[in-house]
Amino acid sequence: MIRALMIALLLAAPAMAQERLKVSAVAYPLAWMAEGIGGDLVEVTFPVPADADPAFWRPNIAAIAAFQQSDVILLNGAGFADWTAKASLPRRALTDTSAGITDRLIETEAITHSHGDDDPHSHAATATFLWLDPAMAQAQADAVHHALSRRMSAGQETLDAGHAEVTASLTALTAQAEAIAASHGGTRLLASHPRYQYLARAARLEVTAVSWASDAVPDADQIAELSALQQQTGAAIMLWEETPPDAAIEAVAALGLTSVLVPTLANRPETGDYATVLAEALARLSAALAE
Amino acid sequence: MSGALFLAWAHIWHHRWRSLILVLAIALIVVVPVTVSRVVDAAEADLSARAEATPLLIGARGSRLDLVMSALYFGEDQPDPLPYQASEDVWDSGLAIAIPLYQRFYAEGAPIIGTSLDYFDLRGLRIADGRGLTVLGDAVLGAAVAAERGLSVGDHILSTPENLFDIAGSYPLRMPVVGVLAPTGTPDDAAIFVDVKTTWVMAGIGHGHEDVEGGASAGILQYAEITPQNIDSFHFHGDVGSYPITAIIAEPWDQRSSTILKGRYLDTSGPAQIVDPEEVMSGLIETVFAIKDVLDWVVRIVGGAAALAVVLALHLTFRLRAREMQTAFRLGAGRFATLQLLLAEALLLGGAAVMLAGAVIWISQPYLSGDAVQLLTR
Repeated sequence: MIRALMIALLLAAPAMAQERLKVSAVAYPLAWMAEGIGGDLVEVTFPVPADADPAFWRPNIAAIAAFQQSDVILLNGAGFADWTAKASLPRRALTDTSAGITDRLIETEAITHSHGDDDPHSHAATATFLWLDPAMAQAQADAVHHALSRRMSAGQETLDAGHAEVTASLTALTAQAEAIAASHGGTRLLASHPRYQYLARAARLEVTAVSWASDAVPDADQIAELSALQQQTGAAIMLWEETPPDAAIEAVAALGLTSVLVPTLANRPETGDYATVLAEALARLSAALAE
Repeated sequence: MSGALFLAWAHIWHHRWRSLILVLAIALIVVVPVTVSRVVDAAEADLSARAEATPLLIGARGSRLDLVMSALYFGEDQPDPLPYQASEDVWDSGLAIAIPLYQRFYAEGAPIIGTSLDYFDLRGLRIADGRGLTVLGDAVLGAAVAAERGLSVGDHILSTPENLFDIAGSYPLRMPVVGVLAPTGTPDDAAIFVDVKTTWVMAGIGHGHEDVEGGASAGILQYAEITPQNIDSFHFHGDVGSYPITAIIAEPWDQRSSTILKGRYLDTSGPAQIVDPEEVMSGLIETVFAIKDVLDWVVRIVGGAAALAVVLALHLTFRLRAREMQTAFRLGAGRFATLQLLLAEALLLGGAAVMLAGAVIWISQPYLSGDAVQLLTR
């Protein structure tokens, strides 16, 4: 009885003391969801530097210690931010936001390697940018709502209202993706990086990706590779995760490809938020497809 | 009376070796039953406290006592391993906090306990020096491990190899000591704590590339070490849910959750069992008390016999001193004075024995608790 009381007090402590629930996220969209759902009840931390890729960011000891102090740690799952698999994080705080949708994850090319003289073996790889499919993002938002609700002893109405707002935004994005699917489903596109698997599935597009650094001008070999892919697919649009140099845009334009900026949103955008930036990107894509 | 005490002391001093033996014999008659009683009481208190602080335990079906002793006291007899998924299932049920424990390896003769950070919260373990577990490969030492081995933050420990000829299997892991726990007076003081994932690396389930120092063919000193330079290459094979653990501490949210959780393990054909450590320990304590009852009778009989022997020895001593007493009588000492002399001598001897027994009991008191539990748990 005493133990149960102590647990209840521990769980209720943040709300009782009018302290905000400390939430940490490994990807920006998860932070956006937590901010939207939790509102003033939560203090959301997304510690990845603006110039770092959250998928490959390596936190130092102090940053991991800060994560350990969180009441809720939002993971993307699907192997995203694999530093979390090599760090000691309190299990009571962890929430894998894709745990309930593992059957909807997209497998990618397996990574093969060997240890010493052993036979080579493969690790299955999974596409990680789930939130580019608004329907997948909705499932993640539901998981965030559930995690916050479990941790908060008060303020459920606030959480429910925030969840409803986030859901409305995601529903609008889903409608945009479905509209693209309805009018341009099956269209083939090229991408500068293999990160659009979920967006492609949501909008029923076929995206073939190269692996270019988005801030560099492609060299002749890369242009030749892209040209071959363009001829093979008949694609007329090239997706970029960041605004490329003008020379890069001109180089792909010479192949007959229209450049369209579709940020992957793993990190916090300079302006706007997940919903507005993705909505703008989908609008740009829709307009480019209509041309 | 002071004259009687003077004469008694003079007699005791004259026969000091004989008197010393008598004092030791009387002191033993006092020390033995009191110590036995205190050992059992201390063991009961320790066992009860640790069990009460551990809500529920889940482990592979088998001996309930082995499971409790392994998870609470890090005993050497390990239950069969359980898949890690069993721990995740408890989390997914929403009924309890689940804390995995994996005990298989040793370093510096101390058990390595693979667990999650939640264990430190449950036990109220505080870092006295350094920091807590942060990344794969970190080790935090219990206070006694650090003190007895002279280890501190910045040192390294090497896990004991299971099989020197297991070239394809697990290598010993060299781990940095990143923290030392404050003493707690519990078995946690005598353990080394690592993340459960680190124990899976020791088990060969997770590994990095080119991580064996000295080369696999060197055959002299081979160990793996997780460093900032190679940590990115470390990865695990297979389904995490299938990785081994030896027990799960389950901390239900409330009584209702506890009841529902227990109900999920009622099927005796299932691979896992759930036990209430307090219940198992009370069974053990009952056994200890049954043994204590027998011991009490043995001590009473032996003590009684020893006391009779002491009385007999005193009686014979006084008989031998009959001529001495007669001389005193002739010199004018009355029967009361003679009785005073004998009483003073008995008082001095008995007093010395009681003081000696008290000192022994007082000095041994701090050692009784931990050693008593070790006697029962090893």
